[in-house]
Amino acid sequence: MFRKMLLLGLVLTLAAALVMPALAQDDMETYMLGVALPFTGSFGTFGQDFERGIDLAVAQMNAELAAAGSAIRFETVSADTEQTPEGASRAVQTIVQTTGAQVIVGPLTTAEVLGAKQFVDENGIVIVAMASSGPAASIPGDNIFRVIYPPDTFSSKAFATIALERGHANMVLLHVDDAFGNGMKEQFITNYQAQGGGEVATFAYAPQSTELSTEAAAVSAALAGFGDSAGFFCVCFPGAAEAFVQVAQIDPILTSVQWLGNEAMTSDEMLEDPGHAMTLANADFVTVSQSADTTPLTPIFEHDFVAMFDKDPGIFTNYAFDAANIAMLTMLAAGNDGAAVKSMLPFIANHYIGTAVQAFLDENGDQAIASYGIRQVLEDGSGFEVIGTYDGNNDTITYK
Amino acid sequence: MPPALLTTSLVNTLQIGSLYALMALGITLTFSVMKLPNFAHAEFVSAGAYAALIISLAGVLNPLLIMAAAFVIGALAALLSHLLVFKPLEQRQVSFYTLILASFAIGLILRYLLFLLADSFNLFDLRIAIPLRILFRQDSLILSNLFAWAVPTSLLLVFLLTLLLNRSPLGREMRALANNPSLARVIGIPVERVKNATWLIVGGLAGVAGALWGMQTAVNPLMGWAAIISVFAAAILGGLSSFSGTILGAYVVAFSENTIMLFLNYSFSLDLAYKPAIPFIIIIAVLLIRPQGFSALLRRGGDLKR
Amino acid sequence: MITVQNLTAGYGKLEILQDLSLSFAHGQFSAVLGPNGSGKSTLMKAIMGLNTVFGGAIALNGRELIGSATEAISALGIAYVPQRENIFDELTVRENLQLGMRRRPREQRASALQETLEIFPILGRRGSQRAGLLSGGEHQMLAIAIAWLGAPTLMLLDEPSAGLAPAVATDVFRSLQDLRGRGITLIVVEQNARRILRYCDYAFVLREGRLAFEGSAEACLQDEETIKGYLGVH
Repeated sequence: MFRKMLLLGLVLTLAAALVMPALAQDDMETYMLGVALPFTGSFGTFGQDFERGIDLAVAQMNAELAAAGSAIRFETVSADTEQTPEGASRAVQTIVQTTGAQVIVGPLTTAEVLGAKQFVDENGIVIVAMASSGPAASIPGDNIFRVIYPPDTFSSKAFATIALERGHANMVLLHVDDAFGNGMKEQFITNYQAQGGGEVATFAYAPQSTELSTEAAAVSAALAGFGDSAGFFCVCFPGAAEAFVQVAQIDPILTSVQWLGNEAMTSDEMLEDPGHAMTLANADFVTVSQSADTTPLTPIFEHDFVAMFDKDPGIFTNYAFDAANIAMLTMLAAGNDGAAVKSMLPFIANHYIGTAVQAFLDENGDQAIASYGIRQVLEDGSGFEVIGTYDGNNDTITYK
Repeated sequence: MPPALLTTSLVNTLQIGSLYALMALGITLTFSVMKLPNFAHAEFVSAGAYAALIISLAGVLNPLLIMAAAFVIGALAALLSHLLVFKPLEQRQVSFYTLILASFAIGLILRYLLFLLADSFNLFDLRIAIPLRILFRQDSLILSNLFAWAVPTSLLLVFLLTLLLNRSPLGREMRALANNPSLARVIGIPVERVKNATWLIVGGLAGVAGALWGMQTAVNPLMGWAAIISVFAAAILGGLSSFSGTILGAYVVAFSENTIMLFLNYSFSLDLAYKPAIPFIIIIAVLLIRPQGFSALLRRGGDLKR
Repeated sequence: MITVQNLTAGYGKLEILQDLSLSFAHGQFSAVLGPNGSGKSTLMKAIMGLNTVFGGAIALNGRELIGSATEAISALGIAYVPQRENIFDELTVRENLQLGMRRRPREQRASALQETLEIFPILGRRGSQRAGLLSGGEHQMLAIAIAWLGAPTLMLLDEPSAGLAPAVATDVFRSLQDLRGRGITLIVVEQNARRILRYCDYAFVLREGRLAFEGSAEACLQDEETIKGYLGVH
């Protein structure tokens, strides 16, 4: 008898659990927010951290909506882009076709954004990317918005200027062979040579590479060919960046020149390895990336993130938070409809304060405010410090 | 091509070729003894690399102990794949293609288990913390301590494996099973035990290769998969059956990816990003021109060619 | 010693042996003869559990074999030498012989090997050669030697003379006779009736899956009707 009662109780509880939310949400309206990010691959840690930033934004928004008595709630649905253009296209399609989401936050790299472009343009879906910066995706009138991080047309100028300030008569550039790497290469060569720089020897590596000894040998030989005044610029993905430093650290040429590089070289993993950290320190490694500016939102975001996840936000995670907020605010204003969101997003973005820098979109739907932080590795390799800022709109570097 | 570049590329060829050889021998062994082109081999490599990484993070920095841990985990991964998947499938007498698909499936499952592990403990792109040092330097010839570990370890293991295959009863039974499975059964060779032993050896070698590979680059769940095409190219060059051919194949692939690639880049400005295409070109060329690879050239008693 | 009763067997759905009953006596060298497709090899494979049995029984000293796995059947002391792929052609002759002794206790191996080399002296001279490089006759002798080394009480051979020159085939049959003298039961499937009948003790002739004749080798040789009608003239 007792067993039967227990079973009955269990069944009823289960039934109630299934029915209750349906009852409670009866007159609620759910807006789906798609999240397409690389959760696997060498950008996996970035993707996971970005998703935390997005989850924080959604949790805060839902709490405010509930407090205000609104019937609208946001729900996220995420899919892995596998860090490839095809994977990004698949991820976005999966999200749209299974949930009807009209707005997607992500993907991460420019190659992924371009991979998903055809599908979103044809189906009226809006993409709000947080960190893609390759100029190849600067296209007017399409459904892609890159709201906080400006295109590399700006940062490449800063890299070129710093290279010349450091007295590099020639440069050797190693870059990932994708939309981001190729875009940065072209922009850098143009800007470097326009400012009086000499020759730039470039080497591309395949995006999935995890072993870069061949590339390091080629870079080393090219640097040796240029002589003392040459500098090295690495435009790599995480994983490849570590693999490169691993083999570069015993190369006599690569360890005797100064390095520039993108943010992949600034990961925590990189500095955890003493050999890598010292290699970067000896190379006076400098990067131009995420803005070092602050707004009233900056400390609030950092505090709330730590409170929710018990860890510090990684690089660009606040940009993912901002992108999610811009997407949600636009949906609240325009409704859960791709065409309306596309039409209204620039207006909303341009009125969004941001966790580091305010958004202001150009005719391509890209961030027009070019605010960067310039960071250099500490002499003991224990971390990075902000040594200056770069204002891309006025092309001025300000050192602290 | 400047002499310094040539020297460096040859050192890389030797170092990477040795690691390819260690991985490719396992492919050849599974193909010969089990008649299975095992794509999950890539994940045995990754599993070994993670075992090595984790034990090194726990403070063990003796390369021998690190490699031993990698051997054990790689061997276990291989044995479990056999016992849980391949063996039941073979008992159902599924086709060759089903087994290939199953090996892909096992690889995917293992890979994403490693992703789960890496995600839970934030183990992406870490390196097995053996500091890199220069052991020998003469002009542009630089040999690191990793070179001193990778090359002799690989050569020693290859030598021991050859010895085991050619001089021990177990090796004789493995070759017999590879050569004529039905006769092996009839004369009472304990086929399942020999297969289990083969899987342990195959997985163990893959694990050690993973540990050495993880000292060379960074450890992530995709590392084995990233190397597998080059490794298969080496095994196919060996005709998927010849040991000496596989070892030669491994060095040919590494030489093509390093020295030839750099030569083409230096002399004809061919983009280094084409490097991943090299193993594919080798595979297609071998299959079109000489499907038996090097095996017929190097035929010896120790080979497994049918 | 081995009795076959009402056996119907074949491959897949195809029935080749039809309700066949016969029995092989202990210590005898029996030949199973018949034209192509008469079911000779099917009978051997049925004994070894290598094909489909639709009905009937096969017993070794009263112990039922049908339903057992090939390995279990060979573990009972039945050695089978198939027509092809009956040696490890990539291994050396010596390794082949060593593998053949897998079932023998360690202490017997040296003497067993010595005895084998007495029966097949040529194999001793070819020890370090790759087995695939042996001549046809040497190849068959190696196959028989491997089977013999497993210490069987019964050996089944499927056309050991196929493709051999007449003189070489005679050598093979002589060595089989020698093995019989050492106390083993032999069942040999043959196409070439006349030659084997000079060496074996007893003969069965199959035709279209049924037993057409049985009797001593001598009786068989003298039975003109059987020879001409079923076996063809050789």
